[in-house]
Amino acid sequence: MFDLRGYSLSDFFLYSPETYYRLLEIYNLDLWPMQIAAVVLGAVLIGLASSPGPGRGRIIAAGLAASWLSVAYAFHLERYATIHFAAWIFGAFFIVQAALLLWVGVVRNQMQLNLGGEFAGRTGLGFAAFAVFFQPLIERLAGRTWSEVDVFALMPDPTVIATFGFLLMMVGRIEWKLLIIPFLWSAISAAAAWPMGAYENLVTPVGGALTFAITGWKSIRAV
Amino acid sequence: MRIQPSLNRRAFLATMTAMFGAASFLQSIGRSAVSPLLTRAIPKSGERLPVIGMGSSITFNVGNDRRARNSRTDVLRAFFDKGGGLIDSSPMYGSSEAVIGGGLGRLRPLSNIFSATKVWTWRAAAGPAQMEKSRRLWGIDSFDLLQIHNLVSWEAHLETLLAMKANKRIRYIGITTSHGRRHSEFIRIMETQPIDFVQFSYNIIDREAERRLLPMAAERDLAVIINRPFMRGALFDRFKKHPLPPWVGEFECTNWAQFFLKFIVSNPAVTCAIPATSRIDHMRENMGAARGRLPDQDMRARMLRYVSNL
Repeated sequence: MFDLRGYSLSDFFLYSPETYYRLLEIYNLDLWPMQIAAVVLGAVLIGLASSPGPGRGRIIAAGLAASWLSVAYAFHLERYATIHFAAWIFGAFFIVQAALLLWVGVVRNQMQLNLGGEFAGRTGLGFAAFAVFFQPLIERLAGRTWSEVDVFALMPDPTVIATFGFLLMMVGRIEWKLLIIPFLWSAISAAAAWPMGAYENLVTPVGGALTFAITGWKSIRAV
Repeated sequence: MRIQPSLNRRAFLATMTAMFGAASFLQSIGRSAVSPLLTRAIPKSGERLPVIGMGSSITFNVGNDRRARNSRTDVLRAFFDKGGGLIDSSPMYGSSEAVIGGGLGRLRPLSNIFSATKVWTWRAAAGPAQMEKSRRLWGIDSFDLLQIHNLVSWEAHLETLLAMKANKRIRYIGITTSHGRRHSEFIRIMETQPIDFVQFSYNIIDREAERRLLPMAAERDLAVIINRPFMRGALFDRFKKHPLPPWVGEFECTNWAQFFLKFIVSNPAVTCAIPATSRIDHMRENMGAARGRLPDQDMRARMLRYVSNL
């Protein structure tokens, strides 16, 4: 079995911040103008979640699944894998998350969303809006160029935060299996952001911690 | 014959300045021309290696970015131009092996390269395929040195490496660690296994290796590669705001990089230090530590006193 005694956290992110941001820059330039389509997709999903109705949960789940697949392939497997030895594992987990969203939300139609004045739902809506609209702005303000910002459905962090948001809006039983991989990515994101000094990316683990607290509170209240 | 009038003061000073400048320039030319590359013998074979090599963790992991790959080729060129030999990498370092291979392909023919990489997989059966992939990425016929990275599945990989060495597919076998981790197990392998090289961390601040690893390497006739000689840049962060002491000229040192590196390679048990850089000017500074005098024991003690008082 793999022995972690010989490693520190920074050993798992053996690239410089310059290399990472250059990768992100090339990625965004290659994909342009997909960023606009991605933000429009996010806006549509938020709009659907804000005015619940029949079948909308299925569409949101399908949209989220497509976002996770897109990040898995275009970012993890095609780009991040060139500088990180474990990116293919991250990509595999993102594909699993897409499959889970399709299974729970589309096939079993168990992703019913309702804001309904609930604290969790409103917080979830805020998370989704932050990920789609405001995270790139904050990163720009933190000193990145526009071509170096994270975009929903194209990069892991905003996709994960938006997913937290939509899952917080779900009514009924909490689908913990949909939260496991986003929680895992929150920890990985924190581990990657810290050595690079990309403290603006710590919003992902903060979002994960808040989601954990809110869903835990919902679980206790439901008992 | 008409005699020139005597020089006025300005002309005299200008002449003297020019003469001293020329003398100083000629002295530096002469020194660099006569300073041979410092090398150390690999104890088990007698083959000599330049005391400064090159690491590739982080610095050569630039993915598919063509601009960055070109700049790393320039760094490699500077390394070889200054007499560099040993290049160290690992499959753990992302695209580093591919970037090195791309650079080597553009700089051929190369006669003095000493290629060193690692095997890093906990699945013993995956070791040979990983080593073959590394060889293809480097674009070489065979590696000079293959090391077991961080002792991962070392028993199984050692068997494979011993068979490869017997078949002349590699020339040397080594084990690596860093940051002072797992030293007890590391020493046990040094004591009991038929290896040629060891690689671990050592620098002017972190001298834990002086206690057991370096004496054991000398006792067991093992070549020693020192990784992270600048503590991933932390030594510069800590000391660069301070001036070099005036006596560094006594061992032909002109910058902090050479101060740190000459301290390391002046330890007689050390074969080679492998600083990593992505910059040509830093590579030239690093390789400067492989020329000129090295500090003796008294000077090493003086260097330690100086940095401990900063």
